Amino acid sequence: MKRSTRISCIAAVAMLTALGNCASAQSTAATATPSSATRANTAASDAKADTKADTKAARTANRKLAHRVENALARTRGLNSARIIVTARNGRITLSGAVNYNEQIALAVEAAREVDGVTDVENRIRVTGASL
Amino acid sequence: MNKIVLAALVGGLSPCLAHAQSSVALYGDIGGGVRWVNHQQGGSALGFNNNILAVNRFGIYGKEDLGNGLAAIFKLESGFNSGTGALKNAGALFSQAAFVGLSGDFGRLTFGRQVSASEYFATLVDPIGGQGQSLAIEPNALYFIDYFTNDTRFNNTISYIGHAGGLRFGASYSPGGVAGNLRAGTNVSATAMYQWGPALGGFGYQKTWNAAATQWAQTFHAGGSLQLGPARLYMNYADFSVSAATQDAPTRRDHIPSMGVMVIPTPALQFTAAAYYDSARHLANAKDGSGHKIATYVMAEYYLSKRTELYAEVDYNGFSGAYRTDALNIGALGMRSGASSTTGVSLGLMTRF
Repeated sequence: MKRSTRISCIAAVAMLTALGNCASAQSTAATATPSSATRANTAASDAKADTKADTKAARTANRKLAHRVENALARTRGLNSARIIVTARNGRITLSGAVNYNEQIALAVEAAREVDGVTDVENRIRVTGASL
Repeated sequence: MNKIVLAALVGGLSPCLAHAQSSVALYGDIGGGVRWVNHQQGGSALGFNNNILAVNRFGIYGKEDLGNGLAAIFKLESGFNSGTGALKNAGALFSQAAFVGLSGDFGRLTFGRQVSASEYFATLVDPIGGQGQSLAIEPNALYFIDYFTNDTRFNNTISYIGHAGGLRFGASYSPGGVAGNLRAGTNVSATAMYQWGPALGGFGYQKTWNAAATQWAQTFHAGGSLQLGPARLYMNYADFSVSAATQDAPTRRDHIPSMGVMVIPTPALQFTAAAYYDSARHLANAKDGSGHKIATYVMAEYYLSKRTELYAEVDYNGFSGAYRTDALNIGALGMRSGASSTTGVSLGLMTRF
């Protein structure tokens, strides 16, 4: 009984941590504007990420762009992007993970392409999971 | 004269016909290999692996555009055993899905055999998409499915899923059709989830009555996932209870926290691991039926192409107290009654089409 309580506590803390992450992620992305992200991207590719500061800026820009793509996917009608993984690198987006229906792959690629700052989309999405 | 009328009619109809685009797609997956498992009735067993990672299936999905963003949709999906060719569920040709519905700006409304709203959410926050074929790697099947029929899908189900911004919500109802009893054989379920950037969080609820309306099973589920680089973390908590059929017996109650992670380090590789902890009181509604269960697995998938993969999987299930003799678990895992653990190893090949 004691053991179960402890484990429940751990789970609760883990949940809260996850929620905390979620909240902080929300505030960072809220300050992101398309222009700042694009600027950072261009800067990163120009300088070839020579200095540490540049690398950090590029990483931030990548994360922000991935965020915007994730939000675009989440809002796309007919697409369930809960299991898609989005990574960004200097405007290049890679979509991996899975969707439940084949036709959703095209919707995801199209939605990602239309996001401001995206130059290229690589599709590695698989079709797996229960029939929803 | 008739010809002209006919031509006019055809002419008038044809733009409409051209507008109605329809598509039908055939899809599925099949896999097989070997599986070794210990602490079974009679010892260890080396047998055929009926694709433990995902249900062997083939299905047909169809869609017809009706204009104004409205579409008619249907899905027929059959589950089968790759070792024997037999139907997954005896007597049900389309055991995995058989539904028809409408989808459009309003959301999606479907009628037929399908997952409940709560299962819809549960599969999205399951590291392997809710397709695992054994309770050894999908212990959550115990509390998300129809507890009384052990069926992963609900028959005669009316389901609605809506979508607004990052919010997705749904409800489903499976009427029992029993004259004079509005509870018998019913399922009521609801879900809501929100997706923001790399994070997804939500809840699910469902209540199922048995065929005689003497017992109910209820699940509250909160969970979510978070993307971190090439990985997705999963966290869930479920509270499961089953009322007793007799008045003096206690209600079964389980608290089930779980965690999982899925990583795609390179396009060809995928690793998944998960752990489920189940603290149960009054298993099978017995007065002294308390016990604990831990279910864990690790799997590696190596993709030869986008569709074909080789996989290896190891799972471990540990039990204490009344869980060691719980008939439901023993039956589902083929375990020796009283065993404190069972370990399984599977190797396989799977292809999707």
